[in-house]
Amino acid sequence: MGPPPTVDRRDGSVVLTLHDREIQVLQWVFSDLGRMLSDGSSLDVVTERLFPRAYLDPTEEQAETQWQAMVHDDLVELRMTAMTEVVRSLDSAAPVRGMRGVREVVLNEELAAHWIGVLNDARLAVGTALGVTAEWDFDSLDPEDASYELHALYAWMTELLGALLGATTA
Amino acid sequence: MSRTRAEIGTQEIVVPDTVEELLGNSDTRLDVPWVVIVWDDPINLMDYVTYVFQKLFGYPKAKARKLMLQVHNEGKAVVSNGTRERCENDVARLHAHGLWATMQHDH
Repeated sequence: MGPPPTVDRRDGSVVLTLHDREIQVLQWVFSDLGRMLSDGSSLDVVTERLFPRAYLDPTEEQAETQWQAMVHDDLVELRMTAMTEVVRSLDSAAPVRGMRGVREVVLNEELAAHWIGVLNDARLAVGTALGVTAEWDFDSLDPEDASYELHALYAWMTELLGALLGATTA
Repeated sequence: MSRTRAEIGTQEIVVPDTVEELLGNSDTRLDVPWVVIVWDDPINLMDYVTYVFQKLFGYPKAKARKLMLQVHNEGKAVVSNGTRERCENDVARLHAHGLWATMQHDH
């Protein structure tokens, strides 16, 4: 991915400035995540991470089953609603005057919250699939590694989320 | 487990020691509240976890950050407590935000 993402505040809004290629990558990531959420086709570990158990106690299996039946569809729908709003804002990103190949997305408070949630879900999905641990360090990875590009994407999304959180909670 | 035995006529009855024992299964253990636990995980950012605690529970930033640090340093932290229904709702809200949360009796 390119240079660190730019996230600023302007007139009470949060403004994401993204290159066309970064927009394309995010559209691909979000589209993939949306498909996984809607048809449940993700890896088991990813599904378990996005939709974990409420009860660890095996004697509460009946309560766990009832709870999952009660909330699972709502949890999917909440995520898909946020995803739809985020993709819509990405699709309508406006060109920045005087900067070729650069667009900006202006987020109000609600949309910024959707972006934060969707980006975090994407990091959870990619990070879990990659088997990221607390010792994960992008700089120590081998560029020849087959999953290097995916690690780079994860690192970039982490920077973007951090910048977004900083601008939103400033 | 100790039990009190009493005899009425020829019938022996076993008298439970506690209300909990009398009521039997865990669903009716009304005297034991539930707690919601958030567990440390390697992916969620510290700032993100703080943000979620502020958003969901209305905690001031300092309290949310302290709770986040407890999760980070000790591996887990109790973030809310109450009835089973309330805790199930809190767990669902935390899962909606990607935090790894579970619930259990507060022993």
